Amino acid sequence: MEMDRISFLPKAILHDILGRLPDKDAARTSVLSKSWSETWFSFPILSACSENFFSLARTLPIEHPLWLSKLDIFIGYVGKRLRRLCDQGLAVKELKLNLQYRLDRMHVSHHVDQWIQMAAENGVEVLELHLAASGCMDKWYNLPLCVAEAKTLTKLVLIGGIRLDPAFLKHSLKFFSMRTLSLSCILFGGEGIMEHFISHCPLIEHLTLEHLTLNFELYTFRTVWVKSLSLHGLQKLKGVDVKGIQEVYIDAPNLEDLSYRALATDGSFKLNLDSCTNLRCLSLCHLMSPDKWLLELLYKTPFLESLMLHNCCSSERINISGPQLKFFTLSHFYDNLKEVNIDAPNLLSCDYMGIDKPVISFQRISDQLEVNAHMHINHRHISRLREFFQNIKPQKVLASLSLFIFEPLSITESLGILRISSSPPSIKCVELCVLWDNEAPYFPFMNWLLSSCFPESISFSLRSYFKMKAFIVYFYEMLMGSKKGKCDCCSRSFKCWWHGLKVVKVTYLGRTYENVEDLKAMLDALPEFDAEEFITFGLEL
Amino acid sequence: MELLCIRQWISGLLPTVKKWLSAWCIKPVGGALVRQEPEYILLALMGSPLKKIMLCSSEKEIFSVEEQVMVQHSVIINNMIEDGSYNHEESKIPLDCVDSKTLKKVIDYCTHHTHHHNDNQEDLEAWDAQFLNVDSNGLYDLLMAANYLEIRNLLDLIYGTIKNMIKGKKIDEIRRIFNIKDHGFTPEEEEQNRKEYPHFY
Repeated sequence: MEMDRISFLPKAILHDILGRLPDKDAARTSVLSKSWSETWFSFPILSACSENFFSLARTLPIEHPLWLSKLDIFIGYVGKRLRRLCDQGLAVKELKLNLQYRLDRMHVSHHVDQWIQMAAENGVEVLELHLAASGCMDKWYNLPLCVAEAKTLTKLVLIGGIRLDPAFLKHSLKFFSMRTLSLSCILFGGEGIMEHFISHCPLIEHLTLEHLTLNFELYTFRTVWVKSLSLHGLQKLKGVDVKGIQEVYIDAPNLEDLSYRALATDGSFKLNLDSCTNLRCLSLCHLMSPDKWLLELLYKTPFLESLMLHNCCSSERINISGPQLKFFTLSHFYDNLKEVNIDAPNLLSCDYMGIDKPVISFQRISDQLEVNAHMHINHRHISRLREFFQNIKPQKVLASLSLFIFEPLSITESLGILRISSSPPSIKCVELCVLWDNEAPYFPFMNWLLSSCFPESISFSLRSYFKMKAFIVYFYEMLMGSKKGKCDCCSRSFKCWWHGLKVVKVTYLGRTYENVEDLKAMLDALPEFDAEEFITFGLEL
Repeated sequence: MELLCIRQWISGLLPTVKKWLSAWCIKPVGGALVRQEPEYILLALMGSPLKKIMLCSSEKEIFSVEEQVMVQHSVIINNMIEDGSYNHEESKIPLDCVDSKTLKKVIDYCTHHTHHHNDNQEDLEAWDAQFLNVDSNGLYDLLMAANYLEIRNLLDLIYGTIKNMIKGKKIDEIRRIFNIKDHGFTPEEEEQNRKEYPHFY
């Protein structure tokens, strides 16, 4: 007869297990048995999300009794756990609260004050508070001052409708152990509070500052964004993530990771990173014309390994160089890019996303270079797509292609199946997201695609499964020969995919099936589709 | 020949061997070479010194395993050897909380992962899955042993299995899996729980 051993394993092990479970499942163990309940109430990590705890229809008015009673239970639950930990003399190691309901009307804010105080007085190491931002800034939650006294705090994350009062300026903040500070969509009640916080964290390693507002005129309700940020003297600073601040000056010689997004409205920016010569990862988003500045920066950061440029409005040409650069991602949706020149001898992967079809050329390459292109296609651009493949020099580096096609494409003769002048490049993987149900254009499109390149496999993301179902089935049946269409192979001298196709294997969830007779039936019989999964057809020509 | 004779024969050869070894740049450390077991000398002569350590289970059974293997996986054993509290010639590491069956499995795990760490991910995962195909008692014994010896990857592996026993399952199901016959709540408490947190059940 098997005994129940797990409930009596050492608490440290059980807490380890609880820490690895998703919050919902971990909370559930508290009602398994008396001893599990005790384990749960001595578990020092408290993570409570109102959405998980009670999911109610958003259409319910706030004063609805059902809502009120659920809220009471939530408050009771958090309070009970915190009190039990404090009574047992245990530290509240982590307190993470995610409250997506407005606190002001429900007088919940004084409960939250109490909870934060209990945590601050009992050795809290990680404090995360995620509240719903409300339109009226004077109704935002004021962070209690007791947080300033939390000496043991190593990570502070504040997101959403939280206001930092100027009273913090008079306090000396005891953030001696603080290593991660993250402030998103926070309102500062006055000037200098952000700098005050940062300057009191001598050991800070990761800093995130996003969409911060400064509004010290309570009744004008104008959104005034924080305009400038200056970081200096922070020796341990390793990673910085800034969004929405126009002028940034960073003097941190050990900085390795930087992610910067300019104000969405105009993209103007002033970023001074002169002393950050150790930079390894750089991500820039929404910058207006950064070309010259970027070139200078790349010159100053010889150790850069990863570079990401998202939607930075550039001229027609982008030049990138980096002796240690290993990963490069470029996304461009402005329809003006003509050339991308990359001089990076150690580059392992180059990802391109966009609607433009620039000529991508590499000066010096390594053997492992893989280029992945993710393109949105409409009928205006399709003619240039083939040129795009052929323009990537040298040809063998194009490893994968993702195509998103929203409207039916009419592939006419003029697009030139007859126009191929060289053997199509062989690509490892093509991912298709084809969102149209009309069957007629399917065949010409597939014919055109498979004569432009030889993919070893074709994948379909299940995120849009229902819309793509008809296409996936049609495509498979076409490959297996049951739906024939016209193929012009006799007019060309090289391999035709239609006649050359030998084997088609279907792979889903890690299992491969050969010679599937009826794909439609097989797909219908499979269990729930996970949006993150793919169905892949492996092709052997 | 009897082992004793071999020993005497080798001891007789020792001065010559010592000279020969020093010529090959293998230094005897503080006379240790003289006091070592014959097997060590033979191995040293063959040019492949496989340093082994002795682990002693709670049932007093001794397991000999390559030092390299255990040092790579177990933080506790690594610390013991690094700070010198383990003496190669004479002592064995006593592991009183681990029985022989479990210790053998732990050694199996560490040895496989050291020798096959270049294998591809799928093969390793398949081997791990097979390795954990034990009854729940065996699993908890392994868990306690991995915890005691601080073998991070084995711990993570076992935690993953236990996590799957709990994740996404209803309370009654979990109680069945864990063999919780008597949950220990009073009827009022049980009812209160079901009322307050119906989404748990």
